[in-house]
Amino acid sequence: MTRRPPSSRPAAILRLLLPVLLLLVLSACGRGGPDTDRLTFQAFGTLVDLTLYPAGAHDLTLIESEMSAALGIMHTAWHAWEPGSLGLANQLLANGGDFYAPPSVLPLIERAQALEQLTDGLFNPALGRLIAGWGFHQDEPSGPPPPAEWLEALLADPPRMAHIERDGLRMRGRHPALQLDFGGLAKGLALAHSLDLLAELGVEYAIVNAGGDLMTLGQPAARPWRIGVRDPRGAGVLAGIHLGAGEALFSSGDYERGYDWQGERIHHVIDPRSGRPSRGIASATVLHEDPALADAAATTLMIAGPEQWPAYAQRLGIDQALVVLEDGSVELTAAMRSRVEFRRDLAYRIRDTGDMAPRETGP
Amino acid sequence: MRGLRWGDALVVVLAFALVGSAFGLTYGRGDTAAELVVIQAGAAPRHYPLDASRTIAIDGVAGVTTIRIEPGRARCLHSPGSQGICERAGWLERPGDMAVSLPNRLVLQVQGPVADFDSMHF
Repeated sequence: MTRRPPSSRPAAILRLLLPVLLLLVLSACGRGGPDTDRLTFQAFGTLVDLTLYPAGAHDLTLIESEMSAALGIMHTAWHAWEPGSLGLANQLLANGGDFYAPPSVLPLIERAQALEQLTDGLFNPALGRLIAGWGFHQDEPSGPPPPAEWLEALLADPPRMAHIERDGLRMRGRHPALQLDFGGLAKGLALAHSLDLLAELGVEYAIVNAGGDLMTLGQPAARPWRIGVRDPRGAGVLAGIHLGAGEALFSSGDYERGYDWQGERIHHVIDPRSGRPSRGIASATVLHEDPALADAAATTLMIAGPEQWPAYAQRLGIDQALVVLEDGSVELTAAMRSRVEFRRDLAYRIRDTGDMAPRETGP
Repeated sequence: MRGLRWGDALVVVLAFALVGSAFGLTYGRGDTAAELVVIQAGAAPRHYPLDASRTIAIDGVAGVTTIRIEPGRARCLHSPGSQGICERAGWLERPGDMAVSLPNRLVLQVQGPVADFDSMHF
């Protein structure tokens, strides 16, 4: 082995370095457009935004047409106050006689009965009458709020999902005030069906976002899905989060639907215990692979309130959750903390699911 | 062959500067919004550079959404809907900031030279 004279080493390094730098410059200039396609359309009463990977690989016209049709059918079937399968079921339940459940509504009823039992009635889709009483069974919600006597009478003996008796496909309503409203569940099931449809259409990698709630189909090999979580108290981004395949992110918040009545913000998440809009939590966000559970859990945690949300998360088997309190502070589970990257300096508190008291404060 | 001269060192420094600035210009995000993206039902996303002051109008199913664009920021001036949600979002300045007008089925979002997110959760 011959040893190079010391004087030639820098020159050799330079000869090696310059081509490497040239390659780096070329790689920096090689970025093309986005690697995904976006498809946005109106369906299920909201704005549906599809992100499809890779770009240029899909028949966007076909996907929009098929998705719109499928979501339109579900929207009509499950709508809480417009005529459809659920409206028909509500009429028959109120009559109290036996009837065959519409097949499109049965899965929702079964799921809601299990969730209501699990949450001790905090998640109670049988209280549609209460939601209507607050003026939310119309496109533009408005007051006045229901009279105190009306609320008192309804909550003295409230309808529950257990008041629906089932015998196979036959069912019967056992409470005259029973009125189903699947506002905290239907979108989750609709997203699950949407992902199945996309897979049937040959799509391997996608995000289906319906009015801000979303679920991923597959994960591109090159990178995770990058999601921004909007701050419920402004236009900015609260946090970024990377999602893998088959993960659903659902939020319930006081900013979604509501109106102001005599200086008070009336929002659409009604607490069955008080009969009034829930207080203490501005928004609750849940990450889970089951979109229907994530949807219902987000509503439940918001209703549960600042003290009790971790206990209800545990009951529902949710270990990734984040809530923003009314004062803007953030509480989240340890599992969720390991997933999110906050986009601004903020005080947050880690809560153990099951614990009723705060454990740790940071940063 | 002789060792490096001052000219060689200059070439190395310039080469590194060129590489750094190329990556910075191409992938740099910073905190500055570079463009407004209008996502509307039934239309491909539209991109508006945030380079000069102007007002644009977007037709939607419920009426017209008026948007003010200024260098580095944009805001919803007026949009149909009784709750003023779109207007209340205020100036959109940092990449990712967004305003929503559901009556007109549209989302306004500002982003840097490279989109930070595949989708926004709200």
